[in-house]
Amino acid sequence: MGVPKLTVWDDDDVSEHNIPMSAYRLEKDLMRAKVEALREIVKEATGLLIDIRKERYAGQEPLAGPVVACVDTMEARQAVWRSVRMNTDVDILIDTRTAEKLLWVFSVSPCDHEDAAYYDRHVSYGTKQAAPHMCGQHGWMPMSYRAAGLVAENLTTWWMSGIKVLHHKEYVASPVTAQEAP
Amino acid sequence: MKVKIIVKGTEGQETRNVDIAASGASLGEVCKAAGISTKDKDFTVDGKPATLDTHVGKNMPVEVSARPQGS
Repeated sequence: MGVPKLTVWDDDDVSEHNIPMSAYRLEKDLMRAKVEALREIVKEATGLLIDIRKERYAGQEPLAGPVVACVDTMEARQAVWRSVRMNTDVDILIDTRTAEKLLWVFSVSPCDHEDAAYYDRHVSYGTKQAAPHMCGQHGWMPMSYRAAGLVAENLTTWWMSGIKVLHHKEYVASPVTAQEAP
Repeated sequence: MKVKIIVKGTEGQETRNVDIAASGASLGEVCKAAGISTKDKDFTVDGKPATLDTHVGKNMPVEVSARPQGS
């Protein structure tokens, strides 16, 4: 995508359940820090050496440029939003959210008052007021790849034309349901 | 008045149709009539963000969705 600089924050290590729905490699990356494994994967694939922070983002550094939030809790999103809202150094925030087969992707212009108000409504509630994480349903590859595709679509459309793709919400049917359809 | 409600949960999506005696009702009343839980849900009426107090009129589709938060 032509990105010359990329900073990734994540305090987590690669677990078995991450392997089927991501680019992490079973034989190389299991139990490694996600950011370190990702740096190696991106370097091999593109030549870009990304900047990594093996910690959760909680406002400890100012954010600039496009920001993509792929986090697990509403509180983590709120921490990102506090650093992004009305921040003139951030041109776009993209937030992906999944719960089993439900997918939301927000594309927010942080300094657009209407956009910020819309996102305020969708980030104001806590983790307990959102769908709980279901054991064994942590991730589903078609969902993860669809979310990643929407992030890429949002970013490339924004960079190439300055047009922000609208917020996106959908239920992604399972393959079984798709086969049953006429 | 007939109201079409799309319900999106984490395990599936369904469409419910409910008859409301009046020509308009609040979203909370519509959901109650359709037997839909409104706890910790996100709502739209006629494609716009809504609350349980939002008026639902004729030919205004309703969507009730769970709130995903995973990565």
